[in-house]
Amino acid sequence: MQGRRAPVPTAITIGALLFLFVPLAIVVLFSFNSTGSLTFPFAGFSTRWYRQIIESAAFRDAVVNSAFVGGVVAVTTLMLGTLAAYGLTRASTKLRTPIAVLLFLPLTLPGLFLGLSLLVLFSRVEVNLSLGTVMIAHMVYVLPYYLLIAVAALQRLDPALEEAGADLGANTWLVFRRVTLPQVWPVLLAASLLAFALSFDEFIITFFVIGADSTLPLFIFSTLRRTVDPSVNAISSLLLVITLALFAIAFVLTLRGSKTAGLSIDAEPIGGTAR
Amino acid sequence: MAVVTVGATPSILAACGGDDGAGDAPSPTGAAASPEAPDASGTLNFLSWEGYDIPVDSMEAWREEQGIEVNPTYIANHDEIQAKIRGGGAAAGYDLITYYQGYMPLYTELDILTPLDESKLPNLSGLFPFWASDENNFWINPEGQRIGVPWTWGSIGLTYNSAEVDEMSSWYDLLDPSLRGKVATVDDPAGNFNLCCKILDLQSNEVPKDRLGDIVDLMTQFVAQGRGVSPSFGDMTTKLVSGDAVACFHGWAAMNTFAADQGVDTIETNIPEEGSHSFCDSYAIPPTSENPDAALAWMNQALDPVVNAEAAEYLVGGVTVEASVANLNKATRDLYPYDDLDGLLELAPLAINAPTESDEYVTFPEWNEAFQGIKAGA
Amino acid sequence: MASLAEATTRSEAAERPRVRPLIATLPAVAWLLAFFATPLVIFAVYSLLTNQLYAVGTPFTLDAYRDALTSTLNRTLARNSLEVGLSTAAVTVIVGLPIAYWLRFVAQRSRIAVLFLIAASMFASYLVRIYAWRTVLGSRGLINSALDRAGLIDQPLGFLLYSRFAVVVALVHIFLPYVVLVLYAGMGPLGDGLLEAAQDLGAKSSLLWRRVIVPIMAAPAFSAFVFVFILSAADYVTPQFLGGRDGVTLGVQIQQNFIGVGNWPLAAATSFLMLLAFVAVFAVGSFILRRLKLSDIRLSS
Repeated sequence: MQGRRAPVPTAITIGALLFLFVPLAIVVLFSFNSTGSLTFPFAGFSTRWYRQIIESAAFRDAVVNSAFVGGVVAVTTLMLGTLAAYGLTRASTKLRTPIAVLLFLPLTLPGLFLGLSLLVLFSRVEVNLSLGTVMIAHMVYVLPYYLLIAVAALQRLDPALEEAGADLGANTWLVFRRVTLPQVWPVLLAASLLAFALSFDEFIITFFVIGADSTLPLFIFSTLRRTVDPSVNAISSLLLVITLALFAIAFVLTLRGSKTAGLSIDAEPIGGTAR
Repeated sequence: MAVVTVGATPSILAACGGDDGAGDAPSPTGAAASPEAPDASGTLNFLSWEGYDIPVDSMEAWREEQGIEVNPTYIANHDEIQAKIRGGGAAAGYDLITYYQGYMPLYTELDILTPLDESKLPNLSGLFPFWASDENNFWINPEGQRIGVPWTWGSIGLTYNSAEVDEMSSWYDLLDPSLRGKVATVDDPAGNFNLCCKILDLQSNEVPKDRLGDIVDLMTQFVAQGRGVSPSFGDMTTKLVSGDAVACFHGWAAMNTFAADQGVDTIETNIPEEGSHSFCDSYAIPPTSENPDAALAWMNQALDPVVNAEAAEYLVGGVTVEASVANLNKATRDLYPYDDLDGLLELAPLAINAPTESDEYVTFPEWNEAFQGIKAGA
Repeated sequence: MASLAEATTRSEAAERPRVRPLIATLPAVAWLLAFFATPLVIFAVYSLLTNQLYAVGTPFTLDAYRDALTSTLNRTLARNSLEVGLSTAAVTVIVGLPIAYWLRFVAQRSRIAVLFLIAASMFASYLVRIYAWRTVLGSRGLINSALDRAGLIDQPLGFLLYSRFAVVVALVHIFLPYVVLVLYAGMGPLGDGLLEAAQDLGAKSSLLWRRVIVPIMAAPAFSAFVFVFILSAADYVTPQFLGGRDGVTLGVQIQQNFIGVGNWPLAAATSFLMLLAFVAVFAVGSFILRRLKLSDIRLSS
């Protein structure tokens, strides 16, 4: 059934790609606008907005903060999430269900909830708001996304390999390290890059739990509220380039990872036809 | 009452570090700490609007000399200040905040404003008489303690695109059918309330409850003339620039400059005959401050004649220090009639917000709820 | 050979409940209990307390819930949120299905590139995208300028911006990539082998669709729908910039109650009522799916 001609889905796909990218192209286009306007007609090319933001100390601080938070979140999510994914996929008991529900639940709640309730918690226990509270919040937000990918990756592994390892006398940790991990590490790394990207761009929850520092999305928001000029577009274009690069790396890793584990991007079930 | 035109249409670029042609060389004359000013240094955690951390040459020079690092949190909405200070546990120990005078009663009730040591604020003597006195307790609480230092201000007016419409002498002109869909309004519940009260000739903090309906009706009419309420003044400016609006209810002279920066220099602001209101922002120190000396030194420096002028140019606002008028460039000096401040401030007085609780007067929460309804078209 | 070994191991394993691996989940569980479950519980308690202007206190009361439910404003906003959420979810899933189909069955060498592009578009900053739509939809924006230049209109199209339309367009732009990826992943079991086997067994095309493809896709399509519905109904930033007067949603009011008015119990009560509504939508949807017996085919995972 592969490669059949289907004009309607093809047209829709092309339309969707245009829909997705035209606004982004506009963002990048106007970041080079020579006047401060964000409406047509486009006035002319200039790099003044890029120069302006790069020279802005507040911008640089915000980027550093976002990167720092994202990094910590990615690393801790990698650790907590991998362990949790392993536990979920390797256990088989009814107890699994409530744990899975708890771990995936933050996915279903809007950021507004997570942000407000955490703010309430921090205010109740009188913890100062800071980048630390932002990291805590982001980890809650990001974990289910990481789990989605990690659980899927771990599930697709052939359990026979691990059982063989166990039968040969290796303990759980050794099996994990020598059998499981080598197969899935690219996907896990990709998932943690995703965690980084999610944290980097997060705005709604951050707004509620941040203290005196600023992250990049908050910086953008405050700029949007005061005066609107293409410096916002310049920031966003830079952001886009950075996250695209990260994502490209993650993507390549995922492809590699799938190949290593005997999977392919065509999403075929293991072992041929399912029965 | 005469129509007062506020704001020429200069193309001042509010760029940090740029030379704004302030006439005299910006070598800070009052930059060195005077003998009585506190010796302050360290980090200043700042919570307020962007730009209120005065990123201008004279202030930066002083800041570096003093060894003060500013750690700013910029707000998008005035209410974030009290929400963060009250809601965020010990809220990261903010040292310096601002408030606009209408919020004084609420902030006093929420215990956000601490008394300031006037002996460390020698520059207070340079204030215009109007800002030095305080019959309405905006900056000095009823116990006689100073809790705020007024350093910048502005007047609200009718902002419009002179290339599309003529100057309007009355707010009600905005309700003309020809302007349907082209009038912008802004999400500033307190400001809109105060303006509507002025138009209806009511005292904003003493509006009998049965008059709330009139205010709601008036506001609804203005909002209905547009396409949704803008979240900020910057957003209203964008609408003017993009042509989605040709005039604004509750506009501001600074918008003229914002628009000019975006290539449209035909935006003007005037105060119609019914009048409007003015806002004056003051620095204050919240109870969570860990570095009050640095905060006091900062406030004092903001009242330095050179700094006060440069800040006003940067923010496209007014100065509160008499001597700083001479330091202003023409465009900023033309914004407000400094030779007749009393006249202006009678036409556009500093408003007091509605009380938070009251049995006979309209309260701010009551208005706020009504305003949310107006915004949503309910 | 692999599947036989698999099958044997699996049936053996299925008999012993394996609890010990769950220990690995403890750190994550502890974290979420502390920073997710506990805050929610406290937040729920707040909804039952009395408002004290940017603070809460006893006595316990149902005032907040009563105020939230009786407010006509809330009713309007809830309706707006519902419509925005349902529209966004419906559009993304309806548009996402043919795209997932194309990726799975039509694409050959371009599949990876298109997947990459679609996923990559998720990384544009949320806030700036909202602003980009103003440039596209505004009265002197991309669409209106183009139509005007082409002589097709002489007045700019007003409904494009500051309307529910604009909010939905922007939200679809944000969620479409997620939906496509979820649907595409959901097509995993639809391996060539499965479909060929079914066809070999004599299944006609329409039967194939009805008894195999649709049931398999129903679950991912449903979860995508609910996911998008919840997040777009609760969104409060997009409506502020693009929504005009029709697009104001309940999330805006919740945020306003918390920050602008300082009535925390009301904000909490409204939030939980909104959550209740989401759960209801999810329950109703699941019920309908089960009734239509769309979960006939179950594949081992």
